[in-house]
Amino acid sequence: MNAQHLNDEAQKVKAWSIFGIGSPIGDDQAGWQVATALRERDPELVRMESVRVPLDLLHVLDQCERIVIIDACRIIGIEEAGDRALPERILDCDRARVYQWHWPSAKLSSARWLNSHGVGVVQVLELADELGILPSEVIVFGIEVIGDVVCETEMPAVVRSPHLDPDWKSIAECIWQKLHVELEAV
Amino acid sequence: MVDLNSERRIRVPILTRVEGEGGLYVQLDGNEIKECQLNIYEPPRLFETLLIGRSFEDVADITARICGICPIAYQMTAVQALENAMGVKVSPEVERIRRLIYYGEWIESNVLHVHLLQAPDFFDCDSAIELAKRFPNEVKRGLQMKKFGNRLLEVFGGRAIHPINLAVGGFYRLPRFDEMASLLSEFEWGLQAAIETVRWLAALDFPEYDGQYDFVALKHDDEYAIHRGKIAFGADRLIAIDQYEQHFGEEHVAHSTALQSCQLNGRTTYFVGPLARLHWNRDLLSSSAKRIADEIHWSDCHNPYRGIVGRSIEVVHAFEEALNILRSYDPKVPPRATFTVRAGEGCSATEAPRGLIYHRYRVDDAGKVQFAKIVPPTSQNQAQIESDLRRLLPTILQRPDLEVGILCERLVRNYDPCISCSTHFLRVTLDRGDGKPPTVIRA
Repeated sequence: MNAQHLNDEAQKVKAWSIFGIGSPIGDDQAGWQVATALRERDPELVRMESVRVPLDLLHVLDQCERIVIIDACRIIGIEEAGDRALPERILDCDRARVYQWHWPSAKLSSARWLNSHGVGVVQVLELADELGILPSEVIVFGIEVIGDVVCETEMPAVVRSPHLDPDWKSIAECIWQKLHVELEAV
Repeated sequence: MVDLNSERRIRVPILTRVEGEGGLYVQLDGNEIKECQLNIYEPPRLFETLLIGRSFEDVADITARICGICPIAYQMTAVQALENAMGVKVSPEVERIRRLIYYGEWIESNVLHVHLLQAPDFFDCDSAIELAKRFPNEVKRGLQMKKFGNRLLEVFGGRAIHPINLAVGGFYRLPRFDEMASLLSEFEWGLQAAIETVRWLAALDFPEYDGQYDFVALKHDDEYAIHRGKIAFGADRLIAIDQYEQHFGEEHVAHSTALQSCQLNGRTTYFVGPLARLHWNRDLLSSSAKRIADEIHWSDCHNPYRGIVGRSIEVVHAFEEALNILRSYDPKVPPRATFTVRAGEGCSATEAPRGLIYHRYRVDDAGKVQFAKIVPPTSQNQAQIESDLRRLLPTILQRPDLEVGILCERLVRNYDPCISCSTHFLRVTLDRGDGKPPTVIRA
């Protein structure tokens, strides 16, 4: 791999904007944690923003060429999914499952996304598409945290044991590898 | 064909395009309405109890978490109530800048409701996505206005959601002049965009409805009241904010985890929000807002469907007043009053985008909260919404269940309810009593 190749690759990665959606609390922190770990992995190459609600994406999408969205989700059951095919699972680790979608994909509706005012990731992407502000490439990673234990780091009465958290860095590494596969295809 | 002689039960399990989770249950016996309940089933969030024992300095940050859409309303009302409790006086400049940041919240919240949540109802669109297919430029314009409202909150509050700059006594830091100046051209554009939005919406065909409301809102002698003034209600009554609890109370009803408010004298319902504010304060609108209100022949309005226009007039006002404050902004004033922490009790009321919000706190001599009371706008409108549904239902009973549910949902959306605030989404259940299972609409 020569320097020119590395430079080309860097330029390609720079064209990706990564958005982690969520909050600092409970399983909803998945989007922020993984996006942060991606930036830590290579701060030069990744433009990353943490947003609280999917609606906020509408204010920045027109400035992006390609975007990656990382958000917490719940995959619906096979019975409920019916004809809707389930998404590609790219990682199955101790405390989380990670799924990947390419927009447009009907499979996105096989997940439940946390949202405000009934406007989640899927609705925001559909709206952006209608308005002509959707970047040419959109990849969505959904992180489903497994287990019933929901603890909140900010409440002293309920202590969140670190081992209950998924390994955010491993998830970020897996997503990083997947993005490189995407780059090869660009 | 609907059998009007049978019992019917209509249930909308989840009301869409509102914030929070709640439902609507309607039980009919022929033409008689046996039950009409706005079910709020989100778990109680117990914020008032969470505040007990916390420092007065924490209250603004904790109450902001009640709502991601209108955190400033909670923060502002909280810090003002605590200032009253501890005898803190803030400077006129801090008062002006408080209005400015509140306008940012009015813009982002009202524009979101108008374009993405309520406007689809008037074009028979199921969603903002469908609306965007037909009116891409109008939706884009709305999103741009919302963005600028968010920008103001970011510059002044540190971030758009759950800002961190409001403090008892003023602000932790005032933005530099160049940070504020960057907003001027955006707000000049926003003012014209807001005027065009009013023209767009005023041309809509609205359902006929006269709610004969008792409007309750803040009123101030010199300004379109947003963060101070007296409480106006009834035919022409004005009371000081500290008399609020003598006239308005909350009670628990079994089908709701939010408390419902009523007027204590007669236990009657009342209406808070943009229509109430315009009723009491129209003559104090900014010049452009007054001009556009005259142009569209806006008159005192008791039709909740037209609230979308009222809300948009307020957006014009908010952009123009914000511009006035931005142009004369002086960051050299002290951002925060100095004060001595002391025991006391105080209250405050301000105008959240959805309507009047009231807080009362008692603190000890170390500034720890001993008592907290928070009355959000949606709690106050909840009984009024049920009353409106009881008026609407007899006029639509002959329609199929699905349509009844949709029309009920639309009526509820007029109020821009924030169910998460009130504790805190909606579905309609229609039980026609014909032995068949109730219809659950919008599951």
